[in-house]
Amino acid sequence: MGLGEDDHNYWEQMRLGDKQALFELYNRQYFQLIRAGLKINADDELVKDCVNQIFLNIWDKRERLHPVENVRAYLMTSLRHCMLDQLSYLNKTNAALSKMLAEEEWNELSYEQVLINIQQDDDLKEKLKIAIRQLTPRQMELIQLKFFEGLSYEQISERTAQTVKTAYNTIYDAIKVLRKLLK
Amino acid sequence: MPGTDFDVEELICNESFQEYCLGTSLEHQILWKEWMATYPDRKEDIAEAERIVSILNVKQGSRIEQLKALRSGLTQQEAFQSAISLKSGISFKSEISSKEEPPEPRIKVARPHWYFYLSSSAAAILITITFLYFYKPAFFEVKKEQALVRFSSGKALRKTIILKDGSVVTLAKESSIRLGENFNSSNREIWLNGAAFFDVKHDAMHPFVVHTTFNDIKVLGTTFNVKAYADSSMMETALIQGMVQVASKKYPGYFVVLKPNQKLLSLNSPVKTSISKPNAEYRVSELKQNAAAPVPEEIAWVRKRLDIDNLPLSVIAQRLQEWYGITIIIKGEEVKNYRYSGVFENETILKTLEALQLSYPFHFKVEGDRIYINK
Repeated sequence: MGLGEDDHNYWEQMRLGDKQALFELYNRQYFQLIRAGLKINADDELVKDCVNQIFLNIWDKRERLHPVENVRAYLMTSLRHCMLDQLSYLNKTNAALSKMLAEEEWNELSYEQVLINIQQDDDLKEKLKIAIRQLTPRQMELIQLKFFEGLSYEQISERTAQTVKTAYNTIYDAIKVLRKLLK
Repeated sequence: MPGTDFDVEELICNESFQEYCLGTSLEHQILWKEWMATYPDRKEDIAEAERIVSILNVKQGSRIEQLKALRSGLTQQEAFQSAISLKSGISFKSEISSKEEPPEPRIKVARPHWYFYLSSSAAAILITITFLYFYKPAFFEVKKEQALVRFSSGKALRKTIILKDGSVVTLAKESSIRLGENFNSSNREIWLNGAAFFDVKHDAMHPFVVHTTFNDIKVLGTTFNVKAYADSSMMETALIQGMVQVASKKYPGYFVVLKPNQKLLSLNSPVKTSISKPNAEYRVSELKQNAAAPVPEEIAWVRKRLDIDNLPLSVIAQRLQEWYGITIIIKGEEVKNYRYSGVFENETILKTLEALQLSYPFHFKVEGDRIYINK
């Protein structure tokens, strides 16, 4: 059974009132949703609130929902709408962002931008900017795959055509640099 | 289990540790909690490692914590919905049999005379979950076109208004509020002159804002009191439950966040001199509470204890009118004679009516500063 099919089944069970199915969906979609949300707006509290809100809403109106082909796409759209609502209320949108969100095609923030924007502390922000510049593109790429995307060393080695040991060492060296600069 | 010789970089690069930081599953939580208990001298290293992982994973964690939050949100949602469906069940039964039976609540549904005392935690739940309720067409019907956008108390000691989003405002003497344009559940702004007690429907997505001459009070939670008479040199905000943020208009960017049982006193003076400092003009203190005065004096004027002993609804309605300063009109002779007993303490008019309904049902409709009760 493909992953999409599993989601489809959980969706159906959830519609019938199976709460456990809702939680399964939540666990399966959580990180992808959070990441997508952060790339729209690097505010972890806002994103987490919205993710939970969309699941509460789905459960609340489960009897009025239709079967869904692509559960992930549905959830992503819901999340975008939820975030747009909240951002526009907080007057945090600018014209460009609103346009992007409305058109469903948007220039996401890069991982580096999220890394910096999510921090409140100006001092830390500065240190991060400097630290990022010290890392090689390769190191940044692997850090993103490991810590942002959450891939395993195995998956990373497949993706980047190197050995697990090399991938690990690259990341290890990058962390050493970061540790010093972020003290 | 990893040995104690792991350095901080190795911790950060360790996949199990990363899972622990993300809160993906209990097994990692348990493993690393045990490790920390076994090697307590590594506490600082763990903290540093967690910090760096959290920076790099841009605070995606913890899924376990977020799932807990979702569960509790669902529980609240359901508790409220089952209360509603329970009410409809009772209503249906009573409509069929009401003609034959005398209006004595004891006979129905094995409910004894209702002793209702809400503890603060239960009250918080009712407040947070009622906001969901207003998206369903049900017992409450607020007039579509609210011609009145201004409410004043004049000489009356208390005047209670129920807003479109379900929040309840009780005005003190000589006070008035003006609603923002198109005030509704997603647009919640009010201008206040005088003193008022607010019971705000919790909605993190749509903050409730009270504007006074010198300060803007953003409600992040639920129950608080504001005293801001235009001709007074002071503004007082007392918070009972929830969280509010008071933003100064005189010092843009300066704000104070109040936690429960705190009170903020601020000097109202439009004049900013060279020695004006926000710290001198804004003072936070604790609300006094002791056995002799269980209700802080700041809000004593709002709510009292309401004792009713086998009284007909018509008399109760009159008492409620006096206590809350809101007009209640009962339609139908039969309903006027429904009898209730109970003790109501520190409740808003809405919660009191809901509590009565649970004991023996009736319908009520809210229109701004009036409540209509019928069978």
